[in-house]
Amino acid sequence: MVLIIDKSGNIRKGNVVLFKPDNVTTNTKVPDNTFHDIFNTGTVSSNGLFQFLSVDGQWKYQLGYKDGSLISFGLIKPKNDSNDVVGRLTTICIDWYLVTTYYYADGSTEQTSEYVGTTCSEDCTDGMYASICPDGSSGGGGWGNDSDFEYAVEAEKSPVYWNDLNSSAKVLGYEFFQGQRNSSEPQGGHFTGVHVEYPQTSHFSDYGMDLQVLLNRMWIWNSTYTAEDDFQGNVVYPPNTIPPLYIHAELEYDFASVFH
Amino acid sequence: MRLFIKCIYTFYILASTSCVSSQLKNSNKNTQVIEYVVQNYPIHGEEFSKPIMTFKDKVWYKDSMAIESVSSLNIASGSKNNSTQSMEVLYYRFSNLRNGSVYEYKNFSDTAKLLREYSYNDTVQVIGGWNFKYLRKWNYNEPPETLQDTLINKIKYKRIGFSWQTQEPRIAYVAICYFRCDKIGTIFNLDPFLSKTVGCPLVKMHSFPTSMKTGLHFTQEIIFLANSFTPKERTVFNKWEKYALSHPVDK
Repeated sequence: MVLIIDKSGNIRKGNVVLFKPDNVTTNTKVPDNTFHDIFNTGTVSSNGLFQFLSVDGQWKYQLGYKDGSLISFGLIKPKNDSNDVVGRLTTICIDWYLVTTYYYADGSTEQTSEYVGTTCSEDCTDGMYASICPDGSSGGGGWGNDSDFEYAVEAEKSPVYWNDLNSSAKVLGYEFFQGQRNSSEPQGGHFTGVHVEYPQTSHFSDYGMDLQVLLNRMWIWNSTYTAEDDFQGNVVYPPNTIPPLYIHAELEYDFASVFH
Repeated sequence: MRLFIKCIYTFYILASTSCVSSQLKNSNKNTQVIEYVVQNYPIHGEEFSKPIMTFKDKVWYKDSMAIESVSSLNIASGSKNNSTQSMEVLYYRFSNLRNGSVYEYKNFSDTAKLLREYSYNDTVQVIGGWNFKYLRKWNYNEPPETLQDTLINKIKYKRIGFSWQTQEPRIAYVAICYFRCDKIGTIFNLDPFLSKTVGCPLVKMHSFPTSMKTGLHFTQEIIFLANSFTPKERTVFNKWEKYALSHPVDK
């Protein structure tokens, strides 16, 4: 049982979590701080699958980690993300699927959908079955579509701060974002941290822009990230013309655009 | 290469050098005001669409003394992928080309603050402006080829073309050179060796990668603005010249 407590010490949420390690012989217990890392840092040392269930046993979502990183997020959903209802005279049935998004190292993602079962109610007019009927909010029999998930995520972005020179010269920054995906927030979550790295900007071949970062300022406001960067340097033209260049770049991201 | 298809003559690399050389030497007492323009163009799409970046600096030259504006191109890039550009003069550089003394002033004024002074022989990295310290010598792969003359805005240009390439990554470029024979005698040219060889100053170069897929696509051009100074320019020039003559920088 995992309990999330707010700043006042009140229990905000509770889940039963099942851990399925990749290697059952070496992972006999969940290491300390694992759940702290799942919710806050996204860097989890255990390789395996964490299945989050409600306190009454409904399977809600699952998180897969490998080598410290989140590699998959699976969410239990009714078919086509809408209450797909098979109506019989007095029975309502819903097909449930595990919709899993896999995150790859190159930033790409892939989504799969796997049928996990069907729940039925014998009579939707009977209030006791309302939870799985079309207007209801949850499913019975082990699944539910009211998944209330939250977990930490990381993302790397390499924005081109000024890209008018096509591939010949541009200013690149690498921004490493941390955030928390949260189903209850309109943007799907919020940023929790960021750090920025600049290589020697882009110096195309022997020629092109040669810039240094003068100043980097960035702000995070919940689901919005804003940055201002000042670069100073030169453009090196052959054979050896070197006019000065100054670039002031502004950038803004929202959470959803960084964490797809 | 398609731009060389029109090539009709082989380039004669040793043509008339002694005559031109003496003409360049005799130019030292000329008064000239020029603008040095470097522009970047996209490498995709039209060859000469709107430039992406434009650098401009002016030079006032007289009798082996020169003032250069040293400007920075300021680019403001917005979060909506929009950007604006403007040129800002950072300072003015006065050079006594006889002894290599350099004086940098904050403004173009006879009361301008002197920022620093140094010699071209110092280790100071001289950037921007026209820059008399530059060695303007292109490394081309093969002997240049003579192209047909062309007429632009009623000015006749001799032309040659040559290929060159960067080392890492190895990218092949073509440079088209434009020479103005009505400006023989000016000290300003983009490659003294090629200027001497052709017999006219090289005033414009257009260089682009042969593939037009990646690389720098740019032009450099000398625009001749005037053969005399305005009263204000003369006042500033004389004041800074007087100071330079009385304060040579030790080498």
